[in-house]
Amino acid sequence: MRAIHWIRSRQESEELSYWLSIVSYNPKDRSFSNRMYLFYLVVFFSIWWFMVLLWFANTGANLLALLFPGAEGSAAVGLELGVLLIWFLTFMIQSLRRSPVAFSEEDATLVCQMPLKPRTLVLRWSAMPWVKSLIPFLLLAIALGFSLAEVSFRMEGVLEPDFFNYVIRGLRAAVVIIPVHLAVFALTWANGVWLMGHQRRGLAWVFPILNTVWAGIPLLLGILTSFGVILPGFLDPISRLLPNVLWAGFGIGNLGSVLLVSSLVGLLTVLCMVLSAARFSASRAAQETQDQMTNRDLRRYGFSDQVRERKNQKRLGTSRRARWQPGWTGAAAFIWKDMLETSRSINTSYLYNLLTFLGVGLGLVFIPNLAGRIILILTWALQASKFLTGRLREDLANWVTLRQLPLEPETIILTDIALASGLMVLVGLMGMLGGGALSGEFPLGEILSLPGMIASVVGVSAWTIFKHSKVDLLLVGRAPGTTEFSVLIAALCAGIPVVINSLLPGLMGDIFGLLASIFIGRSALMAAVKAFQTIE
Amino acid sequence: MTERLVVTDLSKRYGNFVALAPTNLTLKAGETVILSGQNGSGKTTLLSCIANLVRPSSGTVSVDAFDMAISEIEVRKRLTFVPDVQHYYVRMTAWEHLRFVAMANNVLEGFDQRAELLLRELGLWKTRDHFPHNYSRGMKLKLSLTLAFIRPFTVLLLDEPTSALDEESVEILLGKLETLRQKGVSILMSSHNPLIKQQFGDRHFLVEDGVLREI
Repeated sequence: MRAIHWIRSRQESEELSYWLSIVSYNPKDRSFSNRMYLFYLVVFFSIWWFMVLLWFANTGANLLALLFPGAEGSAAVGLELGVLLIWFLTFMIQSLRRSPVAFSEEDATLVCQMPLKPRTLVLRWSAMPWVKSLIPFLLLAIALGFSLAEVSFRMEGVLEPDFFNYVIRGLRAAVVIIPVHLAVFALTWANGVWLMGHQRRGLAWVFPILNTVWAGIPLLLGILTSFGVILPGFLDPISRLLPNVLWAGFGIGNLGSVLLVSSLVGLLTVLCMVLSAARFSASRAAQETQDQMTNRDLRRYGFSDQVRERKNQKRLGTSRRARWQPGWTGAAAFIWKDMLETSRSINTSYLYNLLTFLGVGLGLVFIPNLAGRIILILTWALQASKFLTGRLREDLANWVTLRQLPLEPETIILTDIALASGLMVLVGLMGMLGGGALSGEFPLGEILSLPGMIASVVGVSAWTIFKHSKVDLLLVGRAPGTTEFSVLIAALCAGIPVVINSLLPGLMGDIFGLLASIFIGRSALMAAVKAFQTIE
Repeated sequence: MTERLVVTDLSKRYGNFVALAPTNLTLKAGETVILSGQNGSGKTTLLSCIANLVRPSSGTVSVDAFDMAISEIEVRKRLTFVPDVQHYYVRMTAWEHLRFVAMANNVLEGFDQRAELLLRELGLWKTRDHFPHNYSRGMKLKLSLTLAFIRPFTVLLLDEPTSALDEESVEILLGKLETLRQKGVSILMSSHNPLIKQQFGDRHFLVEDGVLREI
């Protein structure tokens, strides 16, 4: 077990090193200056977080006072319990579907092959995930503690509250949430490892379902009570159980006794988790969680495209039957391929993109000032550049297939962007026409310029992708993405017609805006075609 | 016999490194040429440059008298390349890949029968509706071959086509190549397979440090 403890400790310190490396701290450097840098980091981030949470506290106090005047404390308790309940249910569903104990590929070949006591393994492996999941709750508790402190200072007329008063109130709120969170976390893990140990069969589900119910009911009733819902009297002991614990953190109630009892409950739940792990199988857990860990590692090292591809592969499953096979030939093959692929990639983020484009269309009608419109165009260009060039990047990653087709580069590029661009024009027009119908004023200039604006964004983005493409990488399926700079240029190109429309009112503005959009859009697309031909 | 493929002074440099020294090669109709050489000797670079997947540093390639630099589309209609490792679209099945290539090459007539025959021959018929990312390496290579064979061509370039194939599939492939050769297709193939090196090919070349030498 010592070896396991050593391996896990190394993983924990590597995890910490990863986060510290983001702020350029190297834990292996034991020089004095590096230690001073660590001290500086601790002080800097303590003050930074304090200021951020204080800012949230101010906004939070205003919001609580506005939404729940006179009952800010109850609202804060209800909010905290609400977040806890949502997290509990989400985490519980995840834990029931696959092992909560996650093992990496290295663990699978090293740790999971050893004859270790499953209970000790689960207990040792639970520490880091618990701490990581606790952090957001600590921040929430401190922010709410600060918010309630702000409310009470306002009521008491304290104009300049001292620093320590805030710190004490924040810490008090944070300390209380720790055992509560521990209990919820351990319960979720207990359910997960129990169910996995019993192969997720029939009666094994009774234990986790009962646990979810008995933990979920006090949480739910606590939320209802906190938000002022009057419940039957006999439910009082359950409904007030958790709010009373959290109230102690916000200054009402005996903190010491609450902490003692809640810590005992927390530790008992941990014991329950350990007892549930008797039949836990580490190798099976590794099979279930290796994908998740690989995706995490890939994402950390910047290979988010690969993560997306892996997820797509998993989502698509093994096979599909093409129902629609038109007799189109030539470049139209790209349209068919695009339609087929799009139909298989509709998910929430795809719909969110379309909704954003609809919102931008609406925004161009309702935001009259130039500065607001420029910010809108910048946001739009950022999202549109990725949306419009997705297929192009995919085709580049299939370089051998793409390069062997007897089609002109401009035909390939234009047909490849046709569907996404057409969809964007359609959605943008719907937004503008919808906005026009609501406001009674149709933005003719923007409507006319929209296709050209989209051509500008896709042209600039495609140009950047082609310029950064290297055949050696394309042959192994790696196509580059857009850059921040290209998004800025795309936004600038797309923004020119909007600026013209805003500065030159009337028909003149509409005509000049349209001409500018056509000229810029065409130039951008031509530059992209040229860049494609020179990929080396 | 007519000259199908003419490669003149074709070379590839990466900075100071010469991946392929200026190379001349001519393939007549129905001729099969085998390339051999150690890993990294320049076989794949030569094939990729001929197929214009990698831009050569100098030289010209012409197929059936069409120059790649002038009439690329005409060359593309006549030349096909099968790499040793190919990437596929994540959201398209094997059958859809075939259909896409046939559509883009304007050869949809009789597609269903031709595709079925090819897939059956290479043992992919049962898994035609599978996504290629679920295929084994050998199956991916077979799909790559069917993608090449589904369209008409006069010059066929193959990069290690037997590297991931089982013995039975190698036999089938060699039979297929023999039929193509009899139809006048010129084949340029790199291979480490001793069977191919001994029994197949009209001429043999060795690639050493980017230099092509007939053996």
